[in-house]
Amino acid sequence: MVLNTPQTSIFSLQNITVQFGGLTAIDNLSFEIPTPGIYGLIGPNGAGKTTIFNVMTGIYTPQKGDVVFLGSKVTDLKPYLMARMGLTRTFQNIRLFESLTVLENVFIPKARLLSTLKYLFFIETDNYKKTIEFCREILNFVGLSHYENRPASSLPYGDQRKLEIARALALEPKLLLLDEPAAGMNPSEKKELGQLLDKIILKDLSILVIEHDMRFMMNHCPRITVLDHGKIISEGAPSHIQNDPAVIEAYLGKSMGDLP
Amino acid sequence: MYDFLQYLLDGLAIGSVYSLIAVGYSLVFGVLRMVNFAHGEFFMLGAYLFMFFFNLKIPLWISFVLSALFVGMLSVGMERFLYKPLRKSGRFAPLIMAVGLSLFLQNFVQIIFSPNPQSFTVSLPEGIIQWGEDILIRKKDIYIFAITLVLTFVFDAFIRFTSFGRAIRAVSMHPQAAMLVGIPFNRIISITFFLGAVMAVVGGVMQGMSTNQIWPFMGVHSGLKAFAAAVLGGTGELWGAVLGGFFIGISESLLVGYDLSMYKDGLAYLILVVFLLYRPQGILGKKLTVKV
Amino acid sequence: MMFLQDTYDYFSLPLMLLGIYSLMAMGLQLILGGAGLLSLGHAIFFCIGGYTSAIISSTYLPLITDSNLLQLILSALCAFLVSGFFAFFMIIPCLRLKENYFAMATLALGEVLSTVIKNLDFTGGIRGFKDIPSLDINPLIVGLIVLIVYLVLRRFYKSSMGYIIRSTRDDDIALQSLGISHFKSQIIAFTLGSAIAGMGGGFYAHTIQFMSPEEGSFNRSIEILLAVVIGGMNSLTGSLIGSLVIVAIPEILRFGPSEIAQNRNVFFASAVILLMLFRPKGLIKHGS
Repeated sequence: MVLNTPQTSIFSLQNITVQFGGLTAIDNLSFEIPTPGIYGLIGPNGAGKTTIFNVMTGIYTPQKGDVVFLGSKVTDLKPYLMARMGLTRTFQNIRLFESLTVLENVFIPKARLLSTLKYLFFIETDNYKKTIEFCREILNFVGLSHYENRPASSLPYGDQRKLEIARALALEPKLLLLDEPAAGMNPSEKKELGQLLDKIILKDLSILVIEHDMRFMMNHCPRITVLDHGKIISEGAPSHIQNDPAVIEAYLGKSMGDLP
Repeated sequence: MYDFLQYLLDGLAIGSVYSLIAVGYSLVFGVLRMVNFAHGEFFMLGAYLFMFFFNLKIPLWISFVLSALFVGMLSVGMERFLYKPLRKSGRFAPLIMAVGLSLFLQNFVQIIFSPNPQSFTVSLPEGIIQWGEDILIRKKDIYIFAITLVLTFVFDAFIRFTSFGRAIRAVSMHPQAAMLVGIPFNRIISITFFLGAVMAVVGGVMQGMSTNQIWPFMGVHSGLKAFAAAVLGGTGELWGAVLGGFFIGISESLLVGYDLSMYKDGLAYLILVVFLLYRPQGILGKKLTVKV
Repeated sequence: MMFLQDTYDYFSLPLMLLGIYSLMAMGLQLILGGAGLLSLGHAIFFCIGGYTSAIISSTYLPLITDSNLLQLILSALCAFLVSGFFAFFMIIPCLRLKENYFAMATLALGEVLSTVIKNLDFTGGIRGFKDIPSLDINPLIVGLIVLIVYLVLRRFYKSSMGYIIRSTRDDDIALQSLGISHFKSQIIAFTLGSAIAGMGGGFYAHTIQFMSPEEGSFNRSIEILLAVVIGGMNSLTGSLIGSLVIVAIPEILRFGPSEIAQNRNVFFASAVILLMLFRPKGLIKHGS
């Protein structure tokens, strides 16, 4: 049981402002992930979701405000260092290591911790074996074991996404950002993805999902944040935001309409 | 002081040849973001073809037009059939293909004509003009420089005032947007290749007329130095390429003049490295911003 | 007995050249097919290695030991280290360049260094460095080194750094999201690959017993690139096969009419063109 002290949330953005030239993309925004769980981030196109992701992962540095991860200020930290602290992501256009096999893809995050020199001199090869076992377990957990030695690029689309997630899990992250994971998937693939998300949340992990598929979000995210024009306009349980007039207006303009 | 001026003027002629080749590199890079490594061979082929036609007793101007057409069409063919299919084939396929083409053309010419330098029997008017007391200018150099300038102005007018020119600029700035407004992307690419190749042919013929000697590998170093000129001036910028060519030509001339000729060959490459590392947009280019 | 001796002498030089080209090709394969960097200046490290061996074997090594074999080993080691040293400092500023620009920068740097070598006194200047001791170099030694390098690289590709290098080639952005900076792996691949080429240069110096600045020009670089591309960029074994093609074909053609011998570059160039069109991955299909 991990106890978070009341002041230390997993992640928080504090009064973030992001500007590109004259354009203010994110305006004095504060956002928090208090405890492990699945969180959703939605909003119309151009609302700033991807920008938020990029700030969280360290690709952009905000002009104002602080980024706090696991109690430390990480505002200026480079992406690969953020990842080492336990924050990783998947990409809208799946980014796998195409020339490597499924197992090798999952191996990469762990590879950093293994010594090449020792391997070359045949010393302590147990570490490699244990790491590979660990990777196999992850593959088993997500249900991709039977693909182990296949080239990553040969997998069906839905399984490629699973592999990307499995690879991210190999990092043993504390926070996983998923950038439109369900994009391009048919209903059965989405169902499998949803099941996977519910499964991995058991591992004391926080997940933040950007998605356009409303049903998917409502079904899997107990808390959703709605973004529009760089500001948070609503936050809460699916039922709450579903009925929030501000949300309806942002998506549909000032007319009355139904959200699914 | 007069020595300096002398070297400067000498350098303009050398540089003119680089400028003419550089225009092609620059324009092609502008529209396709690709370095056509084989571009220097158009320079060489232009000279050889001109000589070939001229030796068949074909009149001067027609020989030139024929060579320009032939090399131009060759460049278009190369792009259409050998570069275009590779646009998506991984990062280096186009560049490696260009290297292969370059080698092929050099050695092909070597086989057909001879590995030895051939004499180029057409010359620019001989004669030297004296300027003031100490400066001697070869008439040939004036011709080369003048022709280069005239062609550059014509080209500039073409880019500025014709619809083709505007289309080329549009594609350089934003290929997708250009396609969206209905610009025939592939045709513009072909035209750009064609025009760049023609400029290189002019350079090759000029070189031949100036030194009276051509050889199969003449495009190799001249081509790379012209690439350096294009980067120096700003890839995608017409005047950048031309001014870059002059700059390199003058620099080489100064080195030779002040007895440092052993460094001459490395100079253009040094300039290239420095600019690639510290100012890749060149002197006239705009800083490229990449949106994540 | 004489016949065997003659045969050996006849094949000795081509075999050593084959070994030397193999070393250069394996080095370039690590850089190009491994890390995904196109180094068009690869030959300059070959050249630097060659000059290093030339200089130290002419002056310093005889002072250390009398054994030719030991001198040879030390010479190769120094060539390896000095080339690697230069490669390390060259690659660092170049890493931020995008692919095409990176290739041209390596090409230009190679030419610049070549010009510098032409102008230094202790390298013999433009005339080159002659009378390099051969140190009894022979195909067996070179072949042994080639085998060792091959086996080490095979194992290296299966090590953690080997996998990281290959993933750098595939997608460095994804790599960053997994906590790994691609710079380190690219530097290692480039330095190691160039150092191996440098070692090849050292052997070359002892084989030909003459070193010239022209060895560092991009003609040589392109030759090695051809070998790697023909054999298959993504395959270590492919680079050996490519070297075999590049070295063996001219030897075989020697027996044919002289016009064909001159044509060999046309064949190589045509091979590259066709390969790029139809089989960008080269003659060997799957990866190392």
